Amino acid sequence: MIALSLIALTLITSHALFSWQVSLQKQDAYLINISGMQRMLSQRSALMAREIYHAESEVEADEYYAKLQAVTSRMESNHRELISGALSTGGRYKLSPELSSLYYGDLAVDQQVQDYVALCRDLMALYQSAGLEGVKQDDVHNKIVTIARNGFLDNLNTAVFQYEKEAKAKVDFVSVSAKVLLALGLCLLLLEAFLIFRPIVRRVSDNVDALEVSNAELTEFSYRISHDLRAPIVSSLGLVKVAKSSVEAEKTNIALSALDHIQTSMSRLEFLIDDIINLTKMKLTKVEAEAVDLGKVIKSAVETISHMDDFERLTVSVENDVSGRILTKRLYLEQSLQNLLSNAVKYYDKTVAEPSVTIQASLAGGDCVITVADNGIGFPEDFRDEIFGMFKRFHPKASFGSGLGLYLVAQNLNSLDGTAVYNPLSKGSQFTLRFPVTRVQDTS
Amino acid sequence: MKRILLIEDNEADQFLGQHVIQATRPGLEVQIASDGVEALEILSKMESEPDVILLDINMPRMDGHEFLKVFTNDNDREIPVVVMLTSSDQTLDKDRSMAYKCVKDYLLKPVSEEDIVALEALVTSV
Repeated sequence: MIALSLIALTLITSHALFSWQVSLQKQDAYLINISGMQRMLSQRSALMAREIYHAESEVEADEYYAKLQAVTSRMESNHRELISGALSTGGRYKLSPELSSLYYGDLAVDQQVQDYVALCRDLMALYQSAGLEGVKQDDVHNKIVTIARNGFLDNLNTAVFQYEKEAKAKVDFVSVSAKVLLALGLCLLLLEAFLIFRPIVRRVSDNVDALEVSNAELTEFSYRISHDLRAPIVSSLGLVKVAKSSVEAEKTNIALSALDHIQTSMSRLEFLIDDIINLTKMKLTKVEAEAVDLGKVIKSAVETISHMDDFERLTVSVENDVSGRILTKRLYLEQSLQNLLSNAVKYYDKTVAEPSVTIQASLAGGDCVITVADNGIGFPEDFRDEIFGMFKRFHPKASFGSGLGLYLVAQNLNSLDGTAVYNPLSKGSQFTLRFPVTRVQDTS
Repeated sequence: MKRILLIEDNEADQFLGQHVIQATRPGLEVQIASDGVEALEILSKMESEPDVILLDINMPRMDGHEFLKVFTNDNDREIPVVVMLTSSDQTLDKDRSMAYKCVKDYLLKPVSEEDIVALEALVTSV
């Protein structure tokens, strides 16, 4: 807003300056014109005075008299305009010190003009009172011609030059001002381009990139969800048919196998729905940080997964060095731990004598660091870069995962301003969750 | 038609496929691969190609599309008839699959006895 106002101010100032300049130019042109006209009138009045003197008849003299009268009146009115500053065009101007000095100083041009006009009027009065003969017997016309020829014209000329000089100075001033305003405008534009528009363009571009990523994720999400929700139902419908026909044919074993598979498919669907709900909760819920007892959060996460099949086969160990309470977003932390622990149960290695999962928690600097390590089947090496991606599954023989669990963990840690990192172990997997926390001073 | 390779990750669908095929044509030999990677391993060990490959699309490690890309790029190989068997009714998946010459049909799960009869007719006609 300020940036746009500054540009508007510069434009308005430029416009005002140029409008003022145009009006001044008109006035200056008028002043130069009438001051120049005074030169011409001085010479013309002298000529008319001579013509009257040399006229051979009253009729001829009358004609020159009328012209002298018009010239003298014009000269007088021009002079009045020039020294009073009140122009007949309606404008006003103030005599500069130089012009004042010219009119009223040593040269006394004002007095000279008045004297000259008075002489012209004297000649005209003489002609009126004494006629042509009266004029011929007097030398007033000679005085007029002498003044017009000597010095008076030069002085009027000096005035014209002074008017021209002052007009030129004004034009030069406006020209410099226009350059200064142009430079100022360009500097403002440059500054705004760097300080305002560039950061805005960068921000918009970042937002567009983020939106594109988000849109691509959403497209992938809706495609996979529509498939993964449909798949177990479609399988189960086929299996129900098999089970029915097997019962009718009294092939109980086949019917039982079909029912087992239906159960597995439904469990898989349940996992998927749970993960979708968790993901939606994570995206839609505004989670606030709260004082959290980390030991209780870990215990709660373990309890949540304790109903899973095969949970009893695993030895779960907890080594928590974080005493007291920490300030963090409990929902994200608990969801992440539940996911990692349920993975340890789903993907435990059936060939290992003592399947286990160990949770370690400690504080390092301002961060809380939690590791979840198991001796399960791990991840195939080729796919380790993709493990936090959406709908990624890596175990063809154990297809009950939704492929959303680790994606959710990564999203949650992102919401905690932290990171989730996978470290392969020689046997099994280890995940390290690191996120900034504040310790809460318990007053009780 | 004597031998079928079913490439399918889901155990329920593996069971269903195998059961439906053998209930329709009891003499047929059905081999199962759990994803594209395992299918390539199995195929490389086979003395001769199966008569038909039933191929799922959404699978871990290597999905149906990736499998087709790798499998059809092998010039030395004689490519058998491939029929897609998937839960995906997306046009994009169908178009991508049917773009391969070897892919002759696109079946939606669950597989039925009618599908197997049609499959047999298809393989015979090729």
